[in-house]
Amino acid sequence: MIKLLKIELKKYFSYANFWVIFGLHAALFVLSIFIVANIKIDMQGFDINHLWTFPAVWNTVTWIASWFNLILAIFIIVITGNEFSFKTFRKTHIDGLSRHELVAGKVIVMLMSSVYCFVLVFITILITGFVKSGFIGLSSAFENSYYLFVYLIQAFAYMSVGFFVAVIVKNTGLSILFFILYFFPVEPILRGIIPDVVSNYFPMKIISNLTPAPEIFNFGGSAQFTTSINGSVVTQQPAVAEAPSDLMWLNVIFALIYIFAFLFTSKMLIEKRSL
Amino acid sequence: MSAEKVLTIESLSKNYGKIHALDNLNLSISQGNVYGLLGPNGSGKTTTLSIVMGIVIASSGTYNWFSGENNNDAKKRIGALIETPLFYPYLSLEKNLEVSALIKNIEKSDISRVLKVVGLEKRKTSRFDTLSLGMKQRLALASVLLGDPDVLVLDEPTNGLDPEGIAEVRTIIRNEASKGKTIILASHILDEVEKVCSHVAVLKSGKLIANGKVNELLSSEETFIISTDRITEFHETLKSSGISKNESIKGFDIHFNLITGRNISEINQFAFSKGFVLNKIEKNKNTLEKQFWKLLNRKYMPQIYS
Repeated sequence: MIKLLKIELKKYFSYANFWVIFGLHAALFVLSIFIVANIKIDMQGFDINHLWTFPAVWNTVTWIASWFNLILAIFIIVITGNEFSFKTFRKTHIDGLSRHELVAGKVIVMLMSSVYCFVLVFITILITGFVKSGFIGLSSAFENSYYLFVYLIQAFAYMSVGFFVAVIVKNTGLSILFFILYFFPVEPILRGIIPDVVSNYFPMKIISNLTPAPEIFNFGGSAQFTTSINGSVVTQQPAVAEAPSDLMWLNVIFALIYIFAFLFTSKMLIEKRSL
Repeated sequence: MSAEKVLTIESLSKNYGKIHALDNLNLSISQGNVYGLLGPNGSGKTTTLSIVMGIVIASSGTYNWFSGENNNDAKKRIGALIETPLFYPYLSLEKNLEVSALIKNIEKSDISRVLKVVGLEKRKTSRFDTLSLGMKQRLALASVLLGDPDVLVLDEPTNGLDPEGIAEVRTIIRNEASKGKTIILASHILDEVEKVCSHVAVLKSGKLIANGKVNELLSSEETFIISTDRITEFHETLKSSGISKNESIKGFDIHFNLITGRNISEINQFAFSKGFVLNKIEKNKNTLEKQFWKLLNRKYMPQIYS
């Protein structure tokens, strides 16, 4: 385990793309928070300032952070695709890493990346929250902090999908293309055709629902941001956004099932195929 | 006295669709053998090595390293180069070897030693993708030697090297062999196998067609080529000399083999005593190559020999 981590770190610390991707991720995220947090809307009965105070800030910031999960998934696709195109899965397997360890190495990278994002988002929430709310007691500050853990699962889930696609396609460029095309428009179109009873459980739907858009958009009418969540609001699940706990935990369970399914299938593929 | 088995291959087959890349291969390699896998391109050499190194999954059959040790543990004790040098292009030579060293539980300090052996110590901080093909091949060899493994698996190790590099690599291989290491060497170059191997397995179209000690299988019965003024006359004379056999005239030359125990200077003496002056004496260097082809054909044109 420690050995696999060491090997993976050795591979990426000297890899320029690693720094570019994570630098871009952090920069875009922090910049977005900064910009969005400074938007002032003057409209009757429309207050967005509460979004940045505790406890709503947990929801707001994790939701914004979720926009950049795509970058994490692309990072996993790039490093996994590299292992295939450089044939370094072969090399490391010849050197004595088992096929299971090849997968485990990437899962460790995914875990580390999720934890890194968790910390980044956590710090951002604390700073934003305390700046906007002033000092409030820790217990009320940490109300709704479960959003952050759900975000962690979401980040990991997107990376699992990325890994899965890369293992199937074995080619970085094509994997990124397929991943993005599936994300949009393939799954949204399928969801449009297939009845909600089924399509509500599609992977991207389940995973993106983990970080629901904050309250404001539910009555703000911004169609662009409501698609993912309004689908269920319109139908029989108004509770997703309003009272996240029950349905969100169900959503989390489904997401975990997807994560397991993607990783397990990837592992089977790597163990059954020639490298 | 039977040496310990390093690798046992039993009825190993690999099909790619209808193509039999490897057809029911049985092979057993003992400790200290320098085993050549010889065959033309596409005969199944790389497939065999890829299967025993775990990267290609066999259609059927089994293989065992070190009498059944877990394959991934076994591989940590084997230095292997399959097909082409495989490294992270953006990492330095040193870092690339550090990755291998970590996997194989080898001390970092061994890295500078192996880089020195292959003559790349000055390039150790260069990125792998800045190397020339020959240097990449050398790095692959360094990676094979890392940790001083007891078993070396080499697939066409002299690929892409210049003559000097080829000579160096052969020296390295012979050095390792002289330390009692087991070496499995795949090559389509007969000369290479003959020069460094103790045993050879000849493959053709995925089938094992000959297997045994190099000096028994490829014993070099050299052909000599001589020329003189009165060639037909000398041909007749030579036939009765008792020194040569298989005499034949080809163009302006006479081709023949020596009878065991005789040497070429006796031919010269003989010719001189009979009043012939030889103006050309040549040893045919391609004899081994021809024998190899003979070996390859025997299986497939049995009517000629039966």
